[in-house]
Amino acid sequence: MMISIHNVYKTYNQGLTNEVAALHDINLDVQRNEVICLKGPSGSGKSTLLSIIGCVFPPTSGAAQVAGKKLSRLPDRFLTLHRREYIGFIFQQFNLLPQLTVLDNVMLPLMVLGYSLEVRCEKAVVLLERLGVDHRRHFLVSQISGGELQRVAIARALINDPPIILADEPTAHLDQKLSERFLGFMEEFKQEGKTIVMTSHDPLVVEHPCVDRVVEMMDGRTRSSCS
Amino acid sequence: MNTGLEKQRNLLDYGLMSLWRRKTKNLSVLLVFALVIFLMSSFQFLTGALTDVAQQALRLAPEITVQRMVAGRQEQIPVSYGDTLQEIFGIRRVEPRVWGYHFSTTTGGNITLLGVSSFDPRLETALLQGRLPNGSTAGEVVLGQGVVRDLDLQGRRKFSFFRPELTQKTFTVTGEFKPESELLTADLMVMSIADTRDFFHISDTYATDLLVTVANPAEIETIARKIAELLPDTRVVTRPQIQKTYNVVFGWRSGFGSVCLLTGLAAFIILAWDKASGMTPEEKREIGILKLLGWQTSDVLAVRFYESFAVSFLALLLGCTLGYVHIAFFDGALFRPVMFGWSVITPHLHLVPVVRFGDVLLVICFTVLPYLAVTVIPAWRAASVPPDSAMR
Repeated sequence: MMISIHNVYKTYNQGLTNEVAALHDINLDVQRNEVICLKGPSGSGKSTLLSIIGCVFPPTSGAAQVAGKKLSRLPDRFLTLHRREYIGFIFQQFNLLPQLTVLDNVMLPLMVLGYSLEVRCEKAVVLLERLGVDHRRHFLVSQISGGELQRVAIARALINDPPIILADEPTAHLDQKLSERFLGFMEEFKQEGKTIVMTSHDPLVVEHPCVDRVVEMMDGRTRSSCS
Repeated sequence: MNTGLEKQRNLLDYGLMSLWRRKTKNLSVLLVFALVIFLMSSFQFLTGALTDVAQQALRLAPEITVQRMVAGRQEQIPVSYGDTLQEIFGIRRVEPRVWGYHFSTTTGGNITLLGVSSFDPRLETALLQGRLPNGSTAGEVVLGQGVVRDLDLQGRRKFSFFRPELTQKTFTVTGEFKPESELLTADLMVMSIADTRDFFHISDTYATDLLVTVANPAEIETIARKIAELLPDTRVVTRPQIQKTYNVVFGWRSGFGSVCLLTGLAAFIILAWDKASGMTPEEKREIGILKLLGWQTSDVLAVRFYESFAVSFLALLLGCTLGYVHIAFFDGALFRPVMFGWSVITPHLHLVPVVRFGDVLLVICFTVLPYLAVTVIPAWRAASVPPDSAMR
């Protein structure tokens, strides 16, 4: 099992007047090489669940295991190390640094791993070529289109070759053609053995053949599962 | 290369890149910071230079000076006191000295006329040109550079002063002191003791003070104590005491100036704190993204440390270089009035900056370290927030 979530609760601002219960008794198992889609309206807890799977923070209670490591009691430092090794993030807003070039953005995760500039460049260029944006490598990200931004974000997520890819509303800002292209990439990654968890309410994603399972969420609970 | 070292090199690269991206903002901080360091290092270097000049000049000063005090004021001392002093074991020589002030109407300040019974041959080394008075020819003098400027001799060798009772006395210039010794010699006219006695009408049985030379310089303080016990109506001043006084005076003036500068330093620290703690939403978002990508809090802090270190190191280098240039080429023009005091004939001495490790360390402690603290601590606070802020 690549991801194993059992009886997980997440409460923000616990004990304060603005306490928010974001997840209630979540149970989710994801096999290696499986692609699942978390579907639900805004505020249903999709991003919170994605954050727990992505080792951004531990659950308030319950057991969460990602790539064989129990996250519940891991301090922040070790969550980061685990995230660095096993997780690649693709964000809704891309979260690229606009003042850096495409190449610099893609190389960011490798900087703290102690790779030399030559090695970082080599790895980044290979990925950018594969995703068809290598001709933009010296452009600032503020100078390229939305579709190219998406591909740069994918390249950055894959630069460490992580076994798990997490994508938060990846097609929210893309038109149909670019969304289909994105899903095509996901299909390729699935064939390479990656495990992919996406959040989306876009029918194009939900109904795409590469998606093995859809998990519906509502008010912090999983409602039903279908495949 | 070692992975850890390569990682630090990457973080340094990223920090320098960040500085370059915000070059306008960082350049303005660098310039203000360099200005603060320039002012502070100027003070330190100027104090060092003046203390050094004083030490050099005082090498030729008498080891012990004995002055007679009456009712708390200095009075003429009988030359016969010298015979009493010769009884003390360890005293090599006792010489009378006569000196006094002559009011200069051109500058409105006093010129010091100093007469000695014999000239120390080492004094020759303090001369820019000419020779010391030979003692047998009346009216021969050596002038300090301040007096040369004041009298405006323009190549003439002779000039006259009016005695207190308005008769004229003519002097012949035989030499000039070096500008390097101006701290002590600027307003000085050195001549034979007979000439000062003649000018001030002081009899042969009295002198202004007695100069004592000891056989063993290590015994100066002991002999001074013995003199004070033997002649209780005298004030005994030793060379180390004069050196200490110079150090205290320059230290005090430097300290006073530094306290004034601290206001500017405090303003800069507040500015730096405001700049660092008032991180823009973009900067906070950048930290969130980096943490999501696997950067540790310590990595973010290292980047911020390298940024701050680069700014402060450059500012230190620039500020200290400017401070050095200010002293070496402009003779500390900005702080001369504070450091040179109230003398009317202001010494025009040329200063050679003295850079001591302790002075540079002091500048670093008062500028670089506070800057590193006020920039890294807020960054640590910002870097400690969970990375999920970047996901919202």
